[in-house]
Amino acid sequence: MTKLIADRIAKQYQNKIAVDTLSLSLGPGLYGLLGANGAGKTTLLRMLAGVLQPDRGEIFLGKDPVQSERYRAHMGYLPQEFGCYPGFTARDFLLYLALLKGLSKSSAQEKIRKLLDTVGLSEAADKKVKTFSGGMKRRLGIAQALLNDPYLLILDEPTAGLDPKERVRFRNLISQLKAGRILILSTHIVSDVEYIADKIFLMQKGQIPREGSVQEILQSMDSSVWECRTDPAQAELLKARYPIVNIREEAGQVFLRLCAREQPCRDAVRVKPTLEDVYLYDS
Amino acid sequence: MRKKEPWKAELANAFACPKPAGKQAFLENLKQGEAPPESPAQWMLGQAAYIQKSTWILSAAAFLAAWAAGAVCRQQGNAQGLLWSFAAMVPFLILFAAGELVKADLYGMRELERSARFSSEKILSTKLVLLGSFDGVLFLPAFFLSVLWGSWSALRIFFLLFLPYMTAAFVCLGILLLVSGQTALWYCLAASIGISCSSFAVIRSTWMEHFPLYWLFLAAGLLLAGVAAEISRLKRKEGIIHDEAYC
Repeated sequence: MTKLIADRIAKQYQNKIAVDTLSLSLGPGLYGLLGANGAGKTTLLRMLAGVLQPDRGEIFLGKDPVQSERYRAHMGYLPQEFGCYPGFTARDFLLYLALLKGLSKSSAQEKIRKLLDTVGLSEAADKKVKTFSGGMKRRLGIAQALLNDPYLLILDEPTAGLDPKERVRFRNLISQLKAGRILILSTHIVSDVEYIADKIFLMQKGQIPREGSVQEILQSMDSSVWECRTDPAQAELLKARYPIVNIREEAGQVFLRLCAREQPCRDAVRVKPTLEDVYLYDS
Repeated sequence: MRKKEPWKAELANAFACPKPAGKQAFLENLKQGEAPPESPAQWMLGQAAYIQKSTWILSAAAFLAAWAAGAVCRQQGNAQGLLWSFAAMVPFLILFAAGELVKADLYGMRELERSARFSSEKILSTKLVLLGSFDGVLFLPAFFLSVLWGSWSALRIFFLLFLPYMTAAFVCLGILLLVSGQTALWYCLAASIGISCSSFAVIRSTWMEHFPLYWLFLAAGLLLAGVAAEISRLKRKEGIIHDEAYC
C-alpha cells in the first residue's frame, strides 16, 4: 500500500507562517481538510501537488519525491481556481491536459468520453469552456484531475461556488472516487466532508490541532457543547466568555449554543456536539 | 534426504503468510510510472498544435511585410533596404514568442500545467525549440535574400540579422524573469520597438559597412551565452512556484 508522506513540511510568506511544520502519512482513503479561509489549506495542497516548493521538509508518494515525474504521473490535482485558453471546448481542454499527462491521443479520446459522461458533461463536450457555469467548470476540473486515473487525488475547494444541489451531486461523485485512492479534499464547508471523509484534519493557522474520524473528533468535544435560553444581558456576558457556535433571538430571549468545559449558566443543557461545533470552536 | 519434521509443517500451516493483498493495484500503479507512450516527435507535434495560430500568423506576416518593404527599397535603388527591413523585423519575432510563453499566466492555466506529469520546464523547452525553429525557418530566407540583393559580405549580413534577434531575446527573457503576465508583454513590446528602431538606425549608418567583424562576433557570443543563462533561469522559475501570494 503506497503512502503519501509529508515529513515536517513548512511554508512561510514574509512574516506569515502558512504551513507550520506538518507531518502526514496517508494511505488510501478520503481525507477532509477543513479550515477557515487563510488557515493554510491551499498552501498545503499546493505543496502536496508539487506546484509550490516547501521552505522545509519533504514529500513522497511511496519512494517517489514530489518533484519526480513518477509522483506527478500518479497524481491528479484540481486547483482552487483555474482558467482556460481562449477558444477551448471542454474536449480541447481535456485533450490538452491529457497530452501534458502523457496519454496517447487515442486512449485520451476514449478516456475523455467516459469522464465527460461521469461528470455529466457529455452534452457540453464541444461547447466553449468560457460559456460554462461555475458548477460545470468544477466538474470539468474534476474530469481533468481524473484523466490519468490517479492514485493520489487532490481537490482544493471542489465545491466552491456550487449551489446546494450541485454540491450534493459533487459529494456523491467524490464519494465514488475514493476507492483505492488517496483522496484529499479541502473545504471550509463542514457538510462537504462530514459524511464522506474517512479522516478529517482540522487546520488552523498552518497547523492541524485536531485530526481523526468524525467520531473521534466529536468525542474530543464530548460534554463541551451546551444550549441555553437566556435574557439579552446575560447572553452578552456569555458571548464574551465562551465560543458561541449558534445564536438566535426567540420571543425576547436569546438562544445560545456554545462550547464550555463547565456548565456556562444555570439553565444550560449539555448537547451532543456536531462537527460544525468543533470546527467553529477551533477556528 | 531428511524427512521434514511434522511440527515444522504444523508451524508453517499455523503461521502461513497471508496472500498478498492489493497486488493487482500495486502492479497497475507501476504501469502508470512507465515511459510516456508517445515519441518525442509526437510530443513536439502535440505541443505545436497548442501554440496559438496567431503566433505563427503574426511571425509570418512580419516576415512578409519586411520582405515587401525591402522590395520597395530595392525598386528605389537601395541595395541594403532588405537588410534594414529584416533587421527591424526580427525583434518582433521574439515578442510573438514571448506572448506564447506568458500565455499560461494570462489565462490561468499555470497551476494545472505545473501539476501535470510533464513538467513546465519540459513544456517551456518544447515551446522554445518549436518557436525558435520557426524563427529559424523565417531567418534563412531573410538571410539569403539579403545576401542576394545586398552588397555586403554574407558574414556581416548574418551578424546584422542575428544580433538584433539575440538582443531582443536577451532583453525579453530578462523581462519574463522579472515581470509576469500582461505587464511583461507590454515591456517586451516596448523593448522590441526600441531594438527594432535601433537596429534600423545602426545598419543604415555609413560606418557599419566597415565595422570590424570581430566585434560583431564577440557581441553575438556574449548574447548567446546570456540568452542560454536566462533560458536556464527561466526553466528553473517555471518548474515550481517559489513565492505565491498567500492563499
